[in-house]
Amino acid sequence: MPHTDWLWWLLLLPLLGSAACGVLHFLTLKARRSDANAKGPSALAWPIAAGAMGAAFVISLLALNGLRALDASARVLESSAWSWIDTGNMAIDVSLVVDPLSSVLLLVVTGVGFLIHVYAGGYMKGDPGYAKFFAYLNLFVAAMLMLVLSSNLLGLFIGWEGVGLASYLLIGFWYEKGWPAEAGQKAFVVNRIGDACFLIGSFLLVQLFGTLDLSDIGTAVPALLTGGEHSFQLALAALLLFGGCCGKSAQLPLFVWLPDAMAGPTPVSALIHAATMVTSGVYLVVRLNPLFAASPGILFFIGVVAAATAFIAGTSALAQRDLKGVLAYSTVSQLGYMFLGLAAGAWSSAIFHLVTHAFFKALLFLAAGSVIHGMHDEKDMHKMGGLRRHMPRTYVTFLAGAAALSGLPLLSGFFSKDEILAMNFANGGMYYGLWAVGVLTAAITAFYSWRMVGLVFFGEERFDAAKVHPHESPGSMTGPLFVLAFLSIAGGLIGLPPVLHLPHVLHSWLEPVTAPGTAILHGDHAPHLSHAAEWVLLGLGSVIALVFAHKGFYAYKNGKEQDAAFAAKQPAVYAQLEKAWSIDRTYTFWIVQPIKLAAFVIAVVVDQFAIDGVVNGAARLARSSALQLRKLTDGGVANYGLWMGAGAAVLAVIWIAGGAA
Amino acid sequence: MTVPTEHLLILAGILFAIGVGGFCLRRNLIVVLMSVELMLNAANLTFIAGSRHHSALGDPALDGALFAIFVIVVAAVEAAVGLALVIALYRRKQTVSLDSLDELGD
Repeated sequence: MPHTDWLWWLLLLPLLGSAACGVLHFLTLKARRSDANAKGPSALAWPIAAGAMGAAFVISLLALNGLRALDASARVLESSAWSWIDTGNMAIDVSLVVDPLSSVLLLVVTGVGFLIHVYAGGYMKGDPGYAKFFAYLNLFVAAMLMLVLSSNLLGLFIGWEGVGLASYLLIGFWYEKGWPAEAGQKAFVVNRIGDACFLIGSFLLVQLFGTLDLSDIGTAVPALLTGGEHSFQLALAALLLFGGCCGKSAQLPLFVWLPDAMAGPTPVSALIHAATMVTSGVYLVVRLNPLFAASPGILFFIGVVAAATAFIAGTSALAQRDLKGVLAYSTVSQLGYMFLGLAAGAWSSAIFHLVTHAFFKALLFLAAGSVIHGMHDEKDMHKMGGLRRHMPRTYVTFLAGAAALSGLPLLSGFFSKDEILAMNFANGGMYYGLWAVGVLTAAITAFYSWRMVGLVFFGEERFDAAKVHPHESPGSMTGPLFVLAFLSIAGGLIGLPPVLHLPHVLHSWLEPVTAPGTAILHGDHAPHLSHAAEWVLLGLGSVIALVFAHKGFYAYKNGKEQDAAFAAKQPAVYAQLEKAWSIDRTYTFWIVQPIKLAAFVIAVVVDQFAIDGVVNGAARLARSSALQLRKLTDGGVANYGLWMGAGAAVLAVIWIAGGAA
Repeated sequence: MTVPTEHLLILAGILFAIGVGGFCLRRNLIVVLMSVELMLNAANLTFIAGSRHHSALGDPALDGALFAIFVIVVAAVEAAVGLALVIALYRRKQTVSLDSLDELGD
C-alpha cells in the first residue's frame, strides 16, 4: 500500500485558500469602514486562490502518475482518515479514493478550474466583493473534489450539497441587483427536489446493501441480481438517484434553474454551470454503473429523458438573444447528450463527452465573458456584431469553441458526440429513436453555434459606437482562452474511434471502473458496429455538422434580420422557442403560483385566525379566569385556611366514598 | 384499665376543632401559629391512638409513632420559620395582626 495521506491536500488546499480569501474579504471590509474607496488587501485573493488551484492540479497530476504506476486491475489510491459512523452492521469512513474515473474528474476540475481562476482575476477586477468571490470559488472546488473523491455515498452527498451551496452563493453573487438573488434561490429550491430523491435513493441502497461504500455497492449488485426478487428495489434506487442527477445536472423536468443561473458572474457559469458541477450527475451514474446496468428499463427511461432534454434545450437555444442564454441552453442540451451515452451503457463515452464539453463550453463561456466585458456588460447579441475586428484573440478562441461544440470533424466535440451516437445506434431496437433525436439535435447544435459566431463577430456593428468602445480583454483573460482553445481542438485525441485503429486512451483507462456495468448489461456480447457502419456514421456526423454550421453562419453573418424573418414566418414557434417551450412558465403557473397562493392563505387566514386565535384565546381564558380567581386571595389567612379545609374535606369525602365502593 | 381509643379520637377531634377555630377566627399571628400547632398535635394524637389500637401484646405497631415523630420534627421546623417570619413582620409593621396583611388581594 503506497503512502497516500497527501491526497488530503487536494481538499485542504482549496479549503485553506477559501478561508484565507474570506479573511482578506473581512480585512477589506474593515479598511472600507474608514475609507469607502480603500482597496484593502483584496488583490491578494487572486494569487492565493489561483495558487491553491494550481497546486491542487499538480497533486492531481501526481495522483494520475501514482495510478499509472500501478497494475491496471489494482489502480486505486485510498486514504482513510477516521471512522465516522460505526453502528455495528454499517460502517462509514471518512476516506478518499482515487481510481481511474476520479482521476479524470480531478484533472478536469482542478485543471479547468485553475484556468478559470486565472481568468477570473481579470474579469472580476474592481468588483467590491473581489476576495469574497475567490473565497466562494475555492469553496466550490473543495466541495467538488469531496464529491469526486469520497469513497462512500454519504461523503459524496456532502460534496453534492456543498457544490449546491457554493452554486447558490455564486449565482446570487450580485444580489444587490435583486434578480440574481432570486435566481440563486430558484437553483437551490429546484435542486432540493432532486436532492430529496437522491437521499431516498441512498436510504434504499442502505436497506439493500447495508453499506454506502461505492465500490462495495458495485460489487454486490450481481449477487443481488441473480436472486431476482430485488430487481424492483434496484430499479427504484437507480431511478431515485437519477432524480437527484436531474436536479444537479439540469435534465427534464428540473432543468429550469440552469438558464436562470446565468445571473452569476461569467467565470462561475463557466466553472460551475458548464464544466464541473452540472456534470456531477454523469459522474454519479458512471460511479454506480453496475446499479444502473442492473435495470435496463431505467436506462432506457434515462435515454428518453436525455433525448427530450437535449432536443428541447437545443431548440430553445436557437431563439435566444442573450449570449449567455444560448450557452446555458446549449449546456443543458449537451448534458442531455452525456446522459444519452449513459443510457446506451457507454459509460466511458459519457465521461469523454464530459471532458471535451468541459473544455469547449468553459472556453465558450469565458470567451463570451470576454465579449461581455469588452462590450461593457452588454449581453444581447442583437446589439453586437462585427466584434472580430475589435477583439481578435477572443474571436479566434471563440471560433475554436464553437467549432468543437458544433462537432466539426476532427475536433474534440466531434469524436465524443459521434461516439455517443454510435453507441446508441449499436444498441439498436428502440435506441434507434434516441439516435435519431441525437442526430437532429447535433444539426441544431451546429446551427445555433454558428448563429452565435455570426451575430457576435460578423456583420455590421449594431451597438452605439459613440457610447460603447469594444476592447480586447487583458492577457490574464485571453491566456486561459488560448489554453482551452488548444484543448478543445486537440482534446478528441484521448478518445479516437475504433475504426482508426488507434488506441482509445480514455476508454482503456476507465475500463476497470466501467467493466462491471458493461458485463451486467451485455454479458460477453457487447454491441458492436461493423467498420462500414462506423464510417457511415462518422461521415454522416461530419456532413450534418458542416452543413448546419454553414447554414447557421451564412444566415446570421450579415446581421440579425434572420431572427425577425423567422419570427414573422412562424410567430408561434418562435415565441415558444424563445420561452424554452414555456416549461418554466408552466411551472410558475401550475406549481409556484398555487404554492404561493396557499402560503398566502395559510399566512393570512390559518395563521392569523386559527393559530393566533387559539394562542390568544388561551391567554384570554387564563387572564379572565385569573381575574375571577384572584378574588379568593384577599389576604385573609383565615379564608385561606377555610378553603384549604374545604379542599381537604372534599378529598376526604371522595376517598371515603371511593373506599366504600 | 386503659383509655378507650374512641375517647382519644374524640379528644383529638376537640383539639383539632379548637385549632381550626383559633386559626380562622383569631387575628393575632402568634395565636394563629399556636392554633396550627394544636391541629398538628391533634393529628399526632390520632396517630398514636391508631398505633396503639392496632398493637397486640408483645407486638407493638410503631408506624403511627413514627409518623408522629415526623410530624413533631416538621412542626418544630415550621414553628422556627413561622416565628422568624413573625419577627420580621413585626420589625416592618410594628404589629402582628393579620388584618394588616391583606395587600396581595388588592
